[in-house]
Amino acid sequence: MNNNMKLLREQFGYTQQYVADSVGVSRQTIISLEAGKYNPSIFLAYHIAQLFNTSIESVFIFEEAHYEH
Amino acid sequence: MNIERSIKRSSVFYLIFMLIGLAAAITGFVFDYHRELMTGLTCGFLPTGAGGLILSQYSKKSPQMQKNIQLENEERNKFINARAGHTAFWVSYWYIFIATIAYNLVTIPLLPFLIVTLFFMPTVYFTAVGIYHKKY
Repeated sequence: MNNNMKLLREQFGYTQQYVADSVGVSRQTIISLEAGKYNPSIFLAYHIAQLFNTSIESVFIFEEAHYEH
Repeated sequence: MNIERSIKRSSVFYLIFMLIGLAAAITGFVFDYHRELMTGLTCGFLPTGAGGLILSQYSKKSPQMQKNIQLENEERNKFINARAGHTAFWVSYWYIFIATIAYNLVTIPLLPFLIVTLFFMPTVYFTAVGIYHKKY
């Protein structure tokens, strides 16, 4: 799933470690999320969106074609 | 994730390990029943149980260890472990299936087969964990 995490993180001036600590995951998870390799749970997506003061849809871009059943 | 509950659960797990080790030691050395086998079980279970129990008691007081436990149980790791478990199950299933078929064609001694299986299953699991860590 594509996302705007890296863009938002850089806009806010946050480090990957800061984001990871804030949402309670490892830095590796943030790296995977930014690379679009890992799709977060709805809870993690919500916490990340909250951290950037925005909605889930503004951070994560859902594309039907990329959906894995 | 509740860290205290996780620590309590691992304490119980390691306590059971220790008790199995103690039971094996008593059975082997006091009652002299299958001493060699019981020595192996004692050497495996007792130190693992005691070490794990000490670590889990220590982690109650160490914020760094509590953080590590939390990170080990974060959602991506859980996802990877679940996926690796699924893969390992099916690879092991086909391995035993092929061995069952092969049993009709060649003689497979039971004990070496079980020992190989015992190493094969975790090897597949940890290989899958490594692959999925790269993939996700």
